Amino acid sequence: MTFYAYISCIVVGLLLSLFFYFFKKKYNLHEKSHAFILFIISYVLSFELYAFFLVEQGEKNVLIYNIFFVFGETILILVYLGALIESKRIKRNVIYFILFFIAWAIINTLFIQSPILIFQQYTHLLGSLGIVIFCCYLMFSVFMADKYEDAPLLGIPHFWNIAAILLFYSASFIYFGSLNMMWDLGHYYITILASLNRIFAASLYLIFGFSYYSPLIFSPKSD
Amino acid sequence: MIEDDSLQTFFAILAGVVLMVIMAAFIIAIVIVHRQRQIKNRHKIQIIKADFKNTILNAEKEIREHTLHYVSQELHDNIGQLLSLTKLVLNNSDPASVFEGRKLINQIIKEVRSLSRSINKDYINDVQFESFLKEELGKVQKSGFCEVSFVNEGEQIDFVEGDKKLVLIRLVQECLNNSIKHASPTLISIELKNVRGKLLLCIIDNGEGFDVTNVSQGLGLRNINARVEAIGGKVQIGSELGKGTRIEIELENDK
Repeated sequence: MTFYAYISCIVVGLLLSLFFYFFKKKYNLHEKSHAFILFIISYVLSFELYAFFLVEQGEKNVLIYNIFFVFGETILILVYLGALIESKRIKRNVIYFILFFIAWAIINTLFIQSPILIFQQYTHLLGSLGIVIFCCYLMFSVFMADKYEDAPLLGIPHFWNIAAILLFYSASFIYFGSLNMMWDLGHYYITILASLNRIFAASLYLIFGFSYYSPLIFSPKSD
Repeated sequence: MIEDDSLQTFFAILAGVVLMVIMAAFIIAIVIVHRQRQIKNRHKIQIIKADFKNTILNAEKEIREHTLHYVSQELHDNIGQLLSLTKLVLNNSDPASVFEGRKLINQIIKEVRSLSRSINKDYINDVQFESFLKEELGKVQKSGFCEVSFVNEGEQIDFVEGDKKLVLIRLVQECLNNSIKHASPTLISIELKNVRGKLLLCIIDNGEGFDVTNVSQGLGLRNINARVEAIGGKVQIGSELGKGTRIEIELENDK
């Protein structure tokens, strides 16, 4: 997947998310998390464009990815997941995990992987692991709980978002890790891995944009 | 070198794809399990609804039977007797007898009106629950079977669901019938308390009582339990041999 195709997918996700404001009013939908997801898509689009701009200028963009993707986006996703969790104990665990993640990111930056030189795979690995665990928890306990007993799962925006996050983060840390561990890979093979990563990421942001329409598409129509 | 690169890339892609497939299978499993749970729950709700409908239909039928039985008894024991007496009185043509006959006919008219009111099918729907309880106790007292007492506390009861009233009415009739038939009490009391949408109904008699653990009594108790459960209430039945019976029905009636 080329960079332009990837950026186009993020833009489509962003537009879908923006258009939802119109439907929100029309169908009187109350999705508090929509603004947050819209912010995540805008945030991703901004740093991806900035990273591309740096490459075009002939500069390294690894620092941008370390700050905004490995650190920033992981925390944003964790905050989103934490907001969906109702159990106070698990919510507290999410906060502890975020604090632990920040501490680990600082240690990794200071002593193990320099953010200017290398993609911080160890920080990303911990973040992905936490995200995957909390996603599995949400999938299992929240969607199986009584609250969503009568609702069709496919008509719940959070279900789509969490499923997309789960799929993206379960595969992406291997691909990001591979890029580091196999730094001496040929350019062609690195392009394949990067392309795969972009396909998953593009799907994630497209689903983010689309997910809030799911109640309009999948919920049974009431007369 | 190129072979090594392609092998490493292949394994990296394979590992990612395998993980993704596992997660996708997990998500699909969640969707399937959730769907099956929904189907099961819907089935359960349908059964509960059918049970409820059945309870209501039975209650309606039994109330009708009870009313007809009461009407037949009244026609035979009360109105029939009054008419015979009127006939006897009117056999004498003296003015005093005619006057007495008129008085008796007026009483018969009153009794017939009261009977016709209880046969009216809208009567149960329109009657206030408290008035109904007083009337039922009045019937028991009028029959001379035993003394009665009625205590009413709290706000006036306004049933959100008419079906609940129907089932409660039938329950009260059933409990009073049981007392009259089996307990030989000297006093039957009904206590009614309605505070902030919570209704407490106690039917107490000082009769013979029974052993609540006795299996032969089980069916009647189960019937009461099932009916109260059908309208979302709770029931407590307490009884001791020689000391009487107390049936407490608790029901939420929120608006």
